[in-house]
Amino acid sequence: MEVDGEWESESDEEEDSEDDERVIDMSKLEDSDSENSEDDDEEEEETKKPRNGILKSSKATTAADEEDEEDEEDEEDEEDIPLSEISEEDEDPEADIIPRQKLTIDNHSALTASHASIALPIKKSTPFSIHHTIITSTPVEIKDVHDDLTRELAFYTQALDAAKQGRALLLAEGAPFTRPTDYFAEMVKSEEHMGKIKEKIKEQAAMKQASTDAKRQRDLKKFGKQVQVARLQERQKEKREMLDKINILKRKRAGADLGDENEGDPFDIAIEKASKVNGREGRDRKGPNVKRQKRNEKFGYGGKKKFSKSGDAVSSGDLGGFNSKGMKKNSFGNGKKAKAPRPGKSKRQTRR
Amino acid sequence: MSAVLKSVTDARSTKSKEESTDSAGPDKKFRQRVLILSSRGVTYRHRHLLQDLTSLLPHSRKDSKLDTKSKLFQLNELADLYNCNNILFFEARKREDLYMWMSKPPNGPTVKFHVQNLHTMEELHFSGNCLKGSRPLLSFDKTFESKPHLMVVKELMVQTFGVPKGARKSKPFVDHVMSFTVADGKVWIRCYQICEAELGKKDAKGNGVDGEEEDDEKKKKGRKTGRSETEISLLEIGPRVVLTPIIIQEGSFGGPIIYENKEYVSPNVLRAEYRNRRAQKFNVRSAQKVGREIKKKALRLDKHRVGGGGGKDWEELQAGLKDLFQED
Repeated sequence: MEVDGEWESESDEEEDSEDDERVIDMSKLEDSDSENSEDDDEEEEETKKPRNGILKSSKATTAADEEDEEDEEDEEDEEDIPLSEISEEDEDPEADIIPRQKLTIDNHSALTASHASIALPIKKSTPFSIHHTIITSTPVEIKDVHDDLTRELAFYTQALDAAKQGRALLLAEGAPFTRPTDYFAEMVKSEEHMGKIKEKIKEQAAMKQASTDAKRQRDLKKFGKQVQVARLQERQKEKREMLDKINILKRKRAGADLGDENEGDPFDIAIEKASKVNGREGRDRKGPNVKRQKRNEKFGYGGKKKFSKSGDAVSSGDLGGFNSKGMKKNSFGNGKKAKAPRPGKSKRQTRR
Repeated sequence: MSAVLKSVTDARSTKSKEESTDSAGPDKKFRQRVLILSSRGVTYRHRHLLQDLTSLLPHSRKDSKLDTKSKLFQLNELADLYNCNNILFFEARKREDLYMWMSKPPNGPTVKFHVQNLHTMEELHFSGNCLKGSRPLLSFDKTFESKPHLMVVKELMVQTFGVPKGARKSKPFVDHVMSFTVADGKVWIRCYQICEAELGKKDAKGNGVDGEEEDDEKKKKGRKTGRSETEISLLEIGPRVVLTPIIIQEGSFGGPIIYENKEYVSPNVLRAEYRNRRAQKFNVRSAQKVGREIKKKALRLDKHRVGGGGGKDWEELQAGLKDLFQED
């Protein structure tokens, strides 16, 4: 309690003016022996300030010096107000961008005093149900704070451990922990909010499902196309083979017609029979009808149709239709026999 | 009659008080009340955070926005007025930066935090939920006890975020955990719901058709062993907040500064640096442009300068040349 009073009084005084501070320091010196060192430190501190300032301004400090200073700072944690400089090679990425020098304050004694003044009187005998605070047995260490997953996992495990521990403690004390199923009360998140969240979750699930479906469909399509191409090729091949067979047979048949009609070939007969079944008699001998043939000649049947009517080297070199006389012809016929000169006026008038 | 009743009740209450003191020893009931308010100029996210916190803290008193940003000591009077012994004050600056002040009026310490990575319950679609007014378990990182300034921070957090037993609107059950972790010099706050699932039940469900008798047996077993059979998992509720301590003052919104974070860089400075860096590009270019002009003049490549050897132009050129060589 003594410590409390002291600190309060000091804070009050310090608010007033800095000059008073020394006086109070002296009073504190008288007050307690334990605080002696700190006060000395404070005074040292005051004397140090300008010196460090000079160091800063001269900028003569090398990196090694800075490190030394930082080491000193760590050692001088007992001091009231250590001065420090954030070195340019700081680990912090933000500080990396901005090299700066900053005066920092870390008044340990004052901090501990103010902590003592507000700390709840929690002892080991205090039932857990009163304070509900759990401190982890070991400090939580996170390797990379910017890695979301590991960071959140660390937080989760910390909270989970606390929950387990707290539950055990509360149950041991006989304090209520679990909410009975028939206990209804207002929740932090309203029904509306929870509905929104559910919808969101559903939506996400649906989207996931849709994306996987689409992916599967794509794969199937790719595969299906391959199958289709293969089938088409197969069909084409079959067709070609069939046509080849028919052609061969036709040739054979033509030969047979020219040669011996009587020569009985069971295979020929079979073909004949088949053709009889297929189409009408007489027509299939000469192939397609005349009209069709002519048309095929004219418009083409099969083969490339594009540019078929455009001129090429042969056509442009072809002078078959050219007649030099034609050039001298006029619309009335021969060039020599040019049209009769226009009759005179009187003749024209009499003609009327 | 009423007098008699009063005396009887009085006697009972005194008795109960005595009992409580006997059982708990010197420990008293911790009375905590938190005044939560913000300054003017908060954005909707800041407002939602405030709303989330008030819904999580049944012992809080929400007040209207504070007009001033400079005379924060007025908050002490306000807290006194509302009978609060904790203040949670959110100060918004430039409609983007949020600072959180945590204080113990009338003469406790004050901590100022910079609030970063703020996500409210509204925007985090977490499926966790808890009773409004249930008391949270407070889970602290061990690191809090390593340094005195963190100890102060921890104590303040215990008192502001810990719902005291028997608070007016609090519920008797515990269904959420608030975790406070120190990482990277910052305090990370998370809030989780505690989900309890009875293992015995799960097994029974898994067996399904095997028969009711077995189920019953298992249930009995579960009842007997009880606590060990339940499995605890967590579901995050929100909000998420990262706090960077900036300063600690000895008084409540006043008094000497007893801690200052040297790693803290003000967002204003960061923004200025960023802008400067971008401006540098332009500056370099404009300097190059000027240099080029001068060089052109020196080489008499400028059309208008070709004829004239003397006069003003000549003097200008000389001056320009001088500058150029000085620069080099």
